Amino acid sequence: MKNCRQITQLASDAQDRPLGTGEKLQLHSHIMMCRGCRAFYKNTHTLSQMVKTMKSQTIDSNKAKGP
Amino acid sequence: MSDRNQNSSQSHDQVTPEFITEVREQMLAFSQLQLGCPHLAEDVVQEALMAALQNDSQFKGDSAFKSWVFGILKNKIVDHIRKDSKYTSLTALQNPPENGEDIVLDTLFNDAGFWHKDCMPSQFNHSWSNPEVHVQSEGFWEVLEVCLTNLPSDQARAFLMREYMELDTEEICSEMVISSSHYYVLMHRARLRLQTCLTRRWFQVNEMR
Repeated sequence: MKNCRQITQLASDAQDRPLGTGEKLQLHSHIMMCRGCRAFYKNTHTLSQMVKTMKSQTIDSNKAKGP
Repeated sequence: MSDRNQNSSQSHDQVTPEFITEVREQMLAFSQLQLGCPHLAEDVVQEALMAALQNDSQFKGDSAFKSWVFGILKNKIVDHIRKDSKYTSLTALQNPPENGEDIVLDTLFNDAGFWHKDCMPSQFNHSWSNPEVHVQSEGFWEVLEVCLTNLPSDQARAFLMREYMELDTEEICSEMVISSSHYYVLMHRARLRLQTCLTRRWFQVNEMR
């Protein structure tokens, strides 16, 4: 059984590369039971979206601040 | 609009010299981090600023100008990384990535590798990734910037190349002269630090009331 430190490594990897079947199983059975790792896994995706949003603000803030 | 109120920002159309100086500093810090070489960083920032200033009449307000100029800077840096990877690899070798353990990880997990109870990240409200909802929440973007700035430089480089510049693993590894397994370790550490930072500086303060 992997601990939270190892599971968060897998959760981070999942954002950057396809996981193997065994890895997926380990990750998902752990995050069903563990609140901290579940938050980390979901936040990793949200964080990626946040950075994209930050980047795209050029267009949006330009529109929003129009006359 | 009164001519005298040049410094009241936000409302004026022209970007002030003071503001440009301030943004220039931030751009230098950012490109130095990405390129590893102060002279090169200086050149790239200069190019980006010149390009942006030629079009600055299009911009209403400082924050739009800043996003615009950072967008140009990002493209210049990516061009440079792709074009001249031999040179940047050399500079990367002078600043080898940190080896060994990251102390922050030891403060998050106990000896057995499980979360310390009060160190778990809180789950972020998913609406934060939706541009429509949070365009106006400038305070949040400042906090995210602070958290990014506080990362160790190799983690920040890897994270920004991946999530901001959207380069792929192979490009990032060859640019940083690291193996893919080292890259995954850096990304793991960067994400743990960023989530911890955002949890403490934003989510616990603003959304847990």
